[in-house]
Amino acid sequence: MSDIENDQKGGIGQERVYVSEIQRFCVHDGPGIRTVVFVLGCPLRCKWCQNPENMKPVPQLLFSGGGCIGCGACVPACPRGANTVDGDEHCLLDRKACTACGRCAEVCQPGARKLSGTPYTVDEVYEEIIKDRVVYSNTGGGVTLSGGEFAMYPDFARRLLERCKRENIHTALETCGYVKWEAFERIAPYTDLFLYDIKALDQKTHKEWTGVDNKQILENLSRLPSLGKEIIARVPLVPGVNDDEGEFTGIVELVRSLDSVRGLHIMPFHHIGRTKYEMLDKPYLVGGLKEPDERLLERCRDIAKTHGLLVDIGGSDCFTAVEKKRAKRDERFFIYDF
Amino acid sequence: MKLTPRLEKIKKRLFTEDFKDRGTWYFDGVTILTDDEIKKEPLVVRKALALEYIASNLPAYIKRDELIVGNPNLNSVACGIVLPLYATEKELEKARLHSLDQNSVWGHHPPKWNDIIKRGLSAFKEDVGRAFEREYSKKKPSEEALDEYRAMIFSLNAVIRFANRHAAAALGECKNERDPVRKKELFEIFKACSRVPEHPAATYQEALQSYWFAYCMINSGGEFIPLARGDQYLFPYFHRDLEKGRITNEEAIDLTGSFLAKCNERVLLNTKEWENYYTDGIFSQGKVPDESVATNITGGYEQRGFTWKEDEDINSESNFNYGQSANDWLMNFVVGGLKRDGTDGTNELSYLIIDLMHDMELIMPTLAARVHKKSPDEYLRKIAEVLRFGQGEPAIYNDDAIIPGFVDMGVPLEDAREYSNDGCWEVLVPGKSYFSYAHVLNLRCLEWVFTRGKSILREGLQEGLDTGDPAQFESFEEFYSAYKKQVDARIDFQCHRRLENLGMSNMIAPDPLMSALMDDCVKKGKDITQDGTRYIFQQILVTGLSHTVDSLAVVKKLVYEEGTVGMEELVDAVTRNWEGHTLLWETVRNRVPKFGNDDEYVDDIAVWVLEDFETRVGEWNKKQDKVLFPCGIGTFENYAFLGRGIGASADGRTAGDALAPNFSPSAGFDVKGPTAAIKSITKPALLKYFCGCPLDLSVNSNEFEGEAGIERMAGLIRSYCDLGGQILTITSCNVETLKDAVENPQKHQSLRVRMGGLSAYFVNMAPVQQQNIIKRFQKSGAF
Repeated sequence: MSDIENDQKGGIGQERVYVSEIQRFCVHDGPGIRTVVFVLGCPLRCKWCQNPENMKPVPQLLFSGGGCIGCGACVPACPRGANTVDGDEHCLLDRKACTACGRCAEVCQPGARKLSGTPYTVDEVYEEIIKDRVVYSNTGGGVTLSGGEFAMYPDFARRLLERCKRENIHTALETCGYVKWEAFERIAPYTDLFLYDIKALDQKTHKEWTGVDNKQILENLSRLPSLGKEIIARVPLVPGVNDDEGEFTGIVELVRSLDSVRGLHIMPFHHIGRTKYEMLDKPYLVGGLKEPDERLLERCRDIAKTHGLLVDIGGSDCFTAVEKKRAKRDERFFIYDF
Repeated sequence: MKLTPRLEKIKKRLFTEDFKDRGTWYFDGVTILTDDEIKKEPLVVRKALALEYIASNLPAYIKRDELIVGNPNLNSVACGIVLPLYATEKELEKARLHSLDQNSVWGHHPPKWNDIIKRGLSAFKEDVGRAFEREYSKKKPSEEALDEYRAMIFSLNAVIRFANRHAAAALGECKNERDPVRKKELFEIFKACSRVPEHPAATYQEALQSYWFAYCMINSGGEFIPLARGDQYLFPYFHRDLEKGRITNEEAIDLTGSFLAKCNERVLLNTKEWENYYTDGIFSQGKVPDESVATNITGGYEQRGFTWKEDEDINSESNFNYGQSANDWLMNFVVGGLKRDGTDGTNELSYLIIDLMHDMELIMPTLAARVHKKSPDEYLRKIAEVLRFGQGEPAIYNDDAIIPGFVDMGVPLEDAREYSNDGCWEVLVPGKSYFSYAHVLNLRCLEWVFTRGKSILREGLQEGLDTGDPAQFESFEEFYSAYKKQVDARIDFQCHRRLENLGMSNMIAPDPLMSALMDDCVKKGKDITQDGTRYIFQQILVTGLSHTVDSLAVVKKLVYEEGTVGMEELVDAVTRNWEGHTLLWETVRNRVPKFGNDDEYVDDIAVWVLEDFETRVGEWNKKQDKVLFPCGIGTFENYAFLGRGIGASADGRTAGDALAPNFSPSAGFDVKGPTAAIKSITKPALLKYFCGCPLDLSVNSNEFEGEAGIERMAGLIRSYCDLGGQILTITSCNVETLKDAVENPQKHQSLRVRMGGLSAYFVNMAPVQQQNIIKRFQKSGAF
């Protein structure tokens, strides 16, 4: 982790961070309509990860074979000779020789190659964020920092969020929790909402599926309420990891024991991220997992509800602001009660 | 809202009986020219006598569950109109030379519905009578005006006759009815039909019945007319009856639903079963006989008179656009919005109608909701709640953007606040407007710059100007000015033609009934087809905007800025439909900014294109005072047809492809999502485009789930309005779209799927994953 934090190449981590995407019109990452900033670099290696291009702290070359027209423009563009043309149909990429410099992506006319990860300054990210300011104020939306793990760049995050708060934009951090406690302390003054992932309570399971143990994550979680911000716990519901009743109930009980956490988002595992693994030539390790069915989801919802939590499957609802509005609305009096 | 038992029954009847019934087209081959006395009458009076014939001969009957009664003749925008013959062969022959016939009643404009309901037709008859006397007492009375007045009286009487026949039918059924509840209802129907629309409506039932009878007769006379601001006209009656306890809540719902059901009974679900009575004169305003057809297309109506051909390809001339508008009567209905005095007009009926349209799953009347800064949050939430389910209705109309546009045109503020929409989506002042439009095909103008005025798809036919060899243009400015020349010529052509054609259809298709029900026609003694109405709007439409702007961006960036593509190469590529230019095709599609992504480079081009367009049209407004020429941006539902005659365009669109609808970005290229699209389309000032420039948004329904989803949708609508957007339609994604995306991925590149933490473009996913997602949507729309 410290390697990444100390990556000073081009001010990365301090003045700049690598951003894979700044996505507008997002609705599953906090209240209202939001812009989500995806940063590169994550301390975890979850086998089910849906954004594998954001795991490493450096840019990655995505190559979608289906989009390639075999024109061969990438062959001379590559300084390391990593590209060849296979017949007339397709260009091939030798990942071992590739350093993800992105020169082939620049000349790929159909856009079959894309370099994922562009250095951004706080100002540059902010410029993108404010484009939807009108939408934030009308929907109670704002910005969500995601990734990767944005809390790995606490100073950058703090400066960016401070900038947003100055303009009264709602701010959220989506986090895996595996960072130094001080990172949260740095970011919290300018963060309205924490979307905090809990993957598993069992140490062994956690280590096996995410690559790290959960001690730091749980410790941070227990201290997080002391920062006085809205917290919603998020459980990626993955078969074999946390979908048995005992484990799931354990997570729910833990969440319930934290005084200020009221909301739980259940994020069902799915296979849609598989395409990205193909584009990265990365092995997809969870091909054999079954997606949670309706019955399982209902059972999990019931467990969370019985424990007095507000629960949403998919993560687009149960925010304080919306709940307040709903309560207010129910008080309204209608002339004709249709 | 749970439907009442009656509305459940009516809904069931609609879907299981009416929507499967092909119905009967009355009056085909019928003539009213049966004796010399009739033949001697002037044409306008004969038209009124034809209406009288319709009113006396359309079957008057009452369906078993309904409270509002009356059935107009069959007709439809796509399948035509049938009227009894009232014109002589000589008259018809002359009209044919001008592409006109008896069916050339233009529709689109609503009459003074409020006055019909409130004052009753007897008051209109008195108005006409007084005007007649005034004219008659002049030294040299106008024969034409006197004829028109006579025709107006006959027509108004015809509507009353139609109502009275239903009164008789209701009384007849009442006598035989054994069920005491229904017996009472039939008696109430009898009472309403005996009173309205002749007399002022006194109850909610009478108000609805008056509205509907007037609609039946105007429409059966050939006019496809909208219902305008129904919630405003009806609310006083609705409110009074409820307040006084004259009707219960349930009865109020039943009456409203029964009225809405009437608007749908002619729908035929299998559009291939519609009989076809289309004639060339429908939606024609006439033309001077020697014009060439190819360059004078008004709007795609020419392509409607088709019958489905089973043995032909689905993309054949007959089939490619088949069924479009078959179940359409231009029957728009507007709720909410500012009142004449500037206060908010949203009322309980606005909510009820939105709910009923949704719960009864009706397609008619096409619903629009006016909103403004002071519209109640609750109203926005109601609209949002319904829109989330993806029917695209209601369409949103932004008062704060539209009303200033009318005022800028010289329409008084009070009239401007009264605006409603016409049959499609353009705005007008109901009861005071004649409305029509003309397309300027901007994209074809751009084609002519490449080809020196020759059509790519019509074998080199010289259609536009020869603006010189584009390869010789030294700068983008020079190229753009050639484009502007082509566009200006078309604007001039269309405006000139609108003025030239004004009143032409009066030779064969006057409408004395509509004229009696419009402001100023009675005063002037003129027909609506002449220049009788207070306002005459002829909207000039930018057509194919996104493709034009994107193509200009390609020329600017690749040819003139980067110099990576030669003009000859680009011309060759578009004339040969990209054959032999695969790499260039990829480049123009993927490497040049596209309109709709909040990208300044290309949005600025849209600003220039629109500013230049409105300036030229503005000159025509200064030049003359007969016609108001507002601007608009649109294709209507004819985008497939409109694109069919245009060759490949420089943005990568292939020859003959459909255009992007209305003001929308090109399909598949608005990859930054709806908020970016909204920012792009509101970058240009839209004041001069107040008359209509709709954005058609497609969103995923799974992005608007739950309580939070309603807030999001409502906020998105507010944002559109705050940014100065004008008309907005929102369609949530459905399984059909997803399936089409599998077949035609290039058309759906912007379709996003979001599953929890992952966001991906649907078309980028592996086939199996696509099938998975389709399954998800089929299941519940939820995760």
